[in-house]
Amino acid sequence: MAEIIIRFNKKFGGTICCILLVALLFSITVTTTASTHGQYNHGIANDYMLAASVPLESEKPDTPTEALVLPDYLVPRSDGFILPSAEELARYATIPVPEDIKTDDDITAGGRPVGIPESGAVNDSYFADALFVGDSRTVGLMSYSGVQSCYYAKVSLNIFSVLHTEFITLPGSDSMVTVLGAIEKNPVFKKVYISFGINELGYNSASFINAYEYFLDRVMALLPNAEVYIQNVFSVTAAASAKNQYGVNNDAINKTNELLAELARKKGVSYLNLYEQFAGADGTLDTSLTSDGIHLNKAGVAQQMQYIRTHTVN
Amino acid sequence: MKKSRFIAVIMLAAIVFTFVSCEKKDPYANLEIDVEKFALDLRDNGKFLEELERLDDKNVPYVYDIGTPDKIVVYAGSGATPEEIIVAQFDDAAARSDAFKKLNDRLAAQRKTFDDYNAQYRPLLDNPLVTEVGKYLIYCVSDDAGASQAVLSRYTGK
Repeated sequence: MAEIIIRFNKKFGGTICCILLVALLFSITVTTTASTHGQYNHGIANDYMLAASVPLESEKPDTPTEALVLPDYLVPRSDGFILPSAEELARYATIPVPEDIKTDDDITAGGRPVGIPESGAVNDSYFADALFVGDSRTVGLMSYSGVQSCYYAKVSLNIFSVLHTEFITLPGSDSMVTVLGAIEKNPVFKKVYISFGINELGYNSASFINAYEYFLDRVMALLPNAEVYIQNVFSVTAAASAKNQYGVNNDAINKTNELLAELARKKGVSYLNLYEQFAGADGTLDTSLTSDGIHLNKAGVAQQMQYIRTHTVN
Repeated sequence: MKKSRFIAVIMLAAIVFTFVSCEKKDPYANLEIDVEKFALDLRDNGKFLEELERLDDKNVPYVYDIGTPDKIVVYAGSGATPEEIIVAQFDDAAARSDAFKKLNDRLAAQRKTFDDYNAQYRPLLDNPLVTEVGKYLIYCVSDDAGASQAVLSRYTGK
């Protein structure tokens, strides 16, 4: 075969060379593509195991680039916790707060009740125009309740970071917005369930409740006709309370709930007393309803959702 | 003569390379996996710190925005740890590619979250099983990636 090729090449040597070079380049290209695809299927897990040791750009801790000017009542906490920027606070402060917020007198004179009494269970369609805002406990509700509603919830979210953390992608958009930004763009909700407090137990309580009030004011301004429910903080197990990690213990939970009840009275919003659902005789969470003593498992979430169904306003 | 032999060798090499490269295909293109069975197997035979429970299929889109898979099964925990299992089937390659990117985005976001939230579980995200096999995407964060990989190998031979 080589002789035939040689003889043939004497006549068409130059042309043949060009064709061969093109063929060679083509085959190299095809070979490289095939091996990359194979690697995609075979080695991607290893790629990520190796990549795991290299910090991603997005993992680098945020650091404030300028001094923050905060309202007097937001006392900065220690070590690097990200507080809302002055611009964000200023922007939300321009949204007028409703003037017809009920006072304590209105409440005691037969106004909106605090600690919603039990009522008949609503159908899950009740939540079709509802919004659930919160932390990992609300993520659990989203995951296991089976209720199709709108959830603006994120693991690790707290009452401070909710003001500036952009994690919501609205339909038809590629960019992410904050909770308030999402509500502003889509103010359709008729009920809002707010759940914060477990991640903030180690914080200055005045900071917590003032930030909560700030957030609540903004929500009520954006959704003036919505029924707002403040969910209080349900207890943790005895073991989790004794461990007291990050300040999470049932004493701190009780104090936080007192502040939340007072805030609900002050603002004339509904107070959802989840604590009474889950606190046993000793005030602790049943271990069968949780995997880590703090977060509810599927069985626990089922109880939580049933409580919510049976404690509604009108 | 030398030139001619050289050209002959090149020509033969080109033919061989082209033949070999054409033979390379995705060996898992025709792989069929029972997604439900596989996901359950991962949960039962992988190693996890907390108990993972299956998410209601209708709630999966609320929690995981990775497009519209042909089939998806998710097992997740309570939120205390980043452990979870996502097995998704995408027949469309473009949709699968987009979803895979979103899974990697989720991994990056989880790493950032657990840097200072329940940071004792952050190491679980250092060694996840995140892979594409044929038309299937597998995302598994567990306490033992080797155990998860062993389950995967039984279904794929990888």
